[in-house]
Amino acid sequence: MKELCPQPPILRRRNNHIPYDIAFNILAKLPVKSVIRFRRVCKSWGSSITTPYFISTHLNHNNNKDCDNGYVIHKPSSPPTPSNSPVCTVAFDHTFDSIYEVRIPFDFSSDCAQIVGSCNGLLCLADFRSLSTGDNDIYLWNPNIRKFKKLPHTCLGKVSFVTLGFAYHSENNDYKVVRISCRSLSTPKIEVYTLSSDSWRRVEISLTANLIFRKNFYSPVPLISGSLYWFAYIKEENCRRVIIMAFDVNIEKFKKLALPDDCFHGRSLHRCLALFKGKLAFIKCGRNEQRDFQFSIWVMREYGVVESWDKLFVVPFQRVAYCIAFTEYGSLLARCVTRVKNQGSKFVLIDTETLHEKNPSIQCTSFVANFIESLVLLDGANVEAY
Amino acid sequence: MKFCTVKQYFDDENNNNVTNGIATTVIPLPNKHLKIKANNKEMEQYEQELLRNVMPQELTKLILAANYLNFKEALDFFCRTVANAIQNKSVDYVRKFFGLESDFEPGEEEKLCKEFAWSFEGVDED
Repeated sequence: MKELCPQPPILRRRNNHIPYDIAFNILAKLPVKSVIRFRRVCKSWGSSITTPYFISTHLNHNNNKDCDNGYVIHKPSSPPTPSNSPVCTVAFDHTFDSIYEVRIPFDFSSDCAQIVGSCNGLLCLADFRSLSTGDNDIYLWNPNIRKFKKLPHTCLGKVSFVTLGFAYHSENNDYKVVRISCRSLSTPKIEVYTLSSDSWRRVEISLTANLIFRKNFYSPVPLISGSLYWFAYIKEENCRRVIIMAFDVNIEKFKKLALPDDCFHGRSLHRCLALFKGKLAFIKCGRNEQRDFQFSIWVMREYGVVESWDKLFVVPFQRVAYCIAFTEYGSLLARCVTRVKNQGSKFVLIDTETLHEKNPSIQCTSFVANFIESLVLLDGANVEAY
Repeated sequence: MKFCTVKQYFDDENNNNVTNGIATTVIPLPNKHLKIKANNKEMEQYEQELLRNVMPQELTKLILAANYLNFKEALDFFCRTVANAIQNKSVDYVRKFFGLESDFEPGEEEKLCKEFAWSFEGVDED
């Protein structure tokens, strides 16, 4: 299985140099910038580094390396001012303390560009020119290797009320973007883009016309165990019922899942879905039966099993707030609604395990995603460098 | 199993690389690992202490010894140490360290330099 490249030439044929397979092991432990630089060492290193096998090995090492420290990447939702070029910031997921910024190297035709998803260090960004109509500009981007790729246009023709999801397809070591277009009174249309084919393909799925997909307001559609999770409403005669639609990225089929039974008590201001330590989390921001405001967080302990919803955390909160992000570690970034005019929103970071609150350096509504350093897209075709 | 390999290593006349110094570094590692396996921090500190005074070139010998002894944990640790030691070094430094020569065609290397110019920023002086 291991792709061994021919031995590189060595200065003198002696046994006292590090053999090639161990050098490969060392390279896999280096930060991305160093790996890229050392492509120049010799031809065989240069070609090994761009193989899918090396990219996966390097990624696995990064995934296992620092269990205590995860990273997030975030982008402000408001348009950049003429003096600030659009950037994303990489930060620690426990504290949201900033580590570094990366400039977005491509332009969007609108100012509403958002982070659709983040898988294995590859980001998907898209602009939603208008909420109701129009194709989106979608980019795949790895800021650590300074490469990006613009996706081709939709194959669905007219699209509206679009929601996007970004996933890693582990069975094929491939990346997919899923677009769902909902037009009222007709069934939702679905198409899937795969990086390996660099094209969109319509997916015929029988869904009822009264099903309306919704996404998290700011968080990416979460990917858990190979499925992307959306909220959807089923429009029945007198009401709307909220359910979860899980899209299996491998077999490309939807599965309906019910929300936790006890989540309907009290009023709900805002809901979102997130990835929490490898499982699906459902966050409800609203008032409990005593009319106190709180965040309630349920986690689906067993994949796909509705009976396994477990109410893990209740975070009481003095103010009404929206959940902007819920990280894999369990940090909840909340935007407090203020009644005082001309006072900007206040952002608070809450550790759901300790209930410790802090004022993070991020103080504007942002799109937030988990992040890791990797070489993904280095071997990509039709990719631009900057 | 590890101890059989060690004996064979010393009996093997061709392997003059293993000096007493290296033997005292590599060989106690399995016992130490077993003793403080549960505590990663302690192991990290022990390992840092061990290699504090070792020059990068010595690491090559340690790696070869650990590889011959088929001692995976030590090999992994030494590889991580080398990775930390070389991550900010120049391409020439790395070539010398691994005993490699550039075999690129004249234009190829320049092309890589240009395409990834940003990866050469902040590199340590040789």
